[in-house]
Amino acid sequence: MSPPPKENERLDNANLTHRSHGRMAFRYLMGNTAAKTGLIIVAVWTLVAVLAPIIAPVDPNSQNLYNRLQRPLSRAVKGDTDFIFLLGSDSLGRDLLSRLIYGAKVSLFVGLASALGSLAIGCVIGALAGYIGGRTDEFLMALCDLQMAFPAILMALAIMAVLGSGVVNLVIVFTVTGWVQYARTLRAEILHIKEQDFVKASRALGAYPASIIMRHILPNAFSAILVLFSFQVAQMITMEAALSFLGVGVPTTIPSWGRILADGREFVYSAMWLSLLPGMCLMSLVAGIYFLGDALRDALDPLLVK
Amino acid sequence: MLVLLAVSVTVFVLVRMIPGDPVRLMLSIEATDEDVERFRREIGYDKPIYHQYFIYLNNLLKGDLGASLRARRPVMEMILERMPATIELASAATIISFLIAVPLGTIAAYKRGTVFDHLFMFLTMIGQSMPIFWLGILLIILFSVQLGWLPTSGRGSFSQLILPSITLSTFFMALIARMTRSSVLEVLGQPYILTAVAKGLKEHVILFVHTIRNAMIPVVTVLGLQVGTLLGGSVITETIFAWPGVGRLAVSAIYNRDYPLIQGTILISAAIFVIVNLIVDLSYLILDPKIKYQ
Repeated sequence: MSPPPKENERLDNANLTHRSHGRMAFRYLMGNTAAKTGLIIVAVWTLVAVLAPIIAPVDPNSQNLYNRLQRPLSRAVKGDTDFIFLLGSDSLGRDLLSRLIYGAKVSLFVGLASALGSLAIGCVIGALAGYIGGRTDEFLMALCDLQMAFPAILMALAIMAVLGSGVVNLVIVFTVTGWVQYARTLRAEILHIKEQDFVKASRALGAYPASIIMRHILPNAFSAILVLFSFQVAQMITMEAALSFLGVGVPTTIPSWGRILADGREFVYSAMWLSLLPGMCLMSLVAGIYFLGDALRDALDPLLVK
Repeated sequence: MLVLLAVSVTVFVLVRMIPGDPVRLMLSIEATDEDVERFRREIGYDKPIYHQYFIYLNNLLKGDLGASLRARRPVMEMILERMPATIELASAATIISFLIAVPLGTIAAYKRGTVFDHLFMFLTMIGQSMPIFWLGILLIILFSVQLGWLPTSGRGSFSQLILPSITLSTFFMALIARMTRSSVLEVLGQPYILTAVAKGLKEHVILFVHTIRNAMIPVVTVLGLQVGTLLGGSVITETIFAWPGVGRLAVSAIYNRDYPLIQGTILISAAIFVIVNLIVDLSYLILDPKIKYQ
């Protein structure tokens, strides 16, 4: 009878399969056109957002009423007359291109920050519900049901009216409304994994619940949560734009795609580009993230990747 | 019921956190402090907040949602008055989504891997990522501004229903279509379909009796859970197209700090959510005869 493998060896093996699974997923992603397109779109927008102060032609808030509603590619009438409004100007004479570039910053920040916030809260609640079970579980799941019954946008509208507009307030609102999916996913995953032999074994060996959750349950739930996260970033970006469109999102001093769209809506007859362009930016970013998330789901499904 | 009670507490507390004195807002600028205090007593806003809640709950059980602070009319009456418009829009959108999405999703599943399928997947992805307010504006630009075929706003004629219902339905169409495709694919892999084919059943019998009926169960479930999104979408759609429904009522209530009206609209939305999910549960009976409720 051969001796059981040493702890180190087993860990090495585990790492090896884990790494090669990740590599397989990566290779799948790179072979998939939709995934590559999504990745490129997201990467470009991220660069634009990070480099906004450098690449924006002018200050997105500098106004000049003489230059209002200039068509794309037209020269400024007053001020720096050599300046060309590549994408036109809005009703206050602000450069649309600069505003769109800064808008990417708000969208990505709100999307990422609120999805991360929801992830943190959702995972804690899901872990508690799944691991402790019983009354705690019942209570937390009732909380989930309650949250689901609210129409998210009405809820967000009401809370934003309480808190007042602001980027941080938006993140808070989205975090409060967005944690449910993570909690449900993680709870389901825990209920499934909790009864498996390797978890029972480590519990018998005296592992703390926190360490079991961190070492065994989270890695197993990782792919489901990652996919959820990517979709949620896209949803939160859309929600931010929707709230800013309704006038309760980010304050007027910060350029946001939703706000630009709402301002441009009055001018659909005379200055159509003000409605068309911000929407295109928004849709390309959201679609990019969806494409990526969709491919990620396929790539991380061990049954599909062969 | 419990959910609705919890919703009523949450909304009540939340709404009272809105800064600004609603009593002062309701009166004209010339009102003196005395007037404000007198009016506050009159509408019961001088009592402690838990007391106000119990009065509210008591009235609620009698079907009384209080009176709007601005319009000075019963909230229930105002909501019921706007309800037909929202139901009209939401059901038009749901019917359009189902009529287009289910056949397309089924065809895509049957023609898996073909050009049609790839195009289908691409278009539904675009449909899902299309921000609803932008879609609304695009449709206005195309059909109202450029072509001048359809009106931009209002309710009454059939032509005014077209743009809002298309706007509201697009996201659901994409969602239902994708769900239908994956669900049909799963059903097609089941042994009972193989049995049906082996029995020599006609193709349309297999399609309608065995495949679509079974594939609809997960689709309907998701639809029930998405009612919240539908209501939220109708808030935006109603705002864009000046559609006189509950969504617009809610938005203006929030802008006006009309507490009873905010409470009323959110509570009614939650009630609709609960009721629709009950209907979804009951529809399983039709879709799957194996499920029986005692």
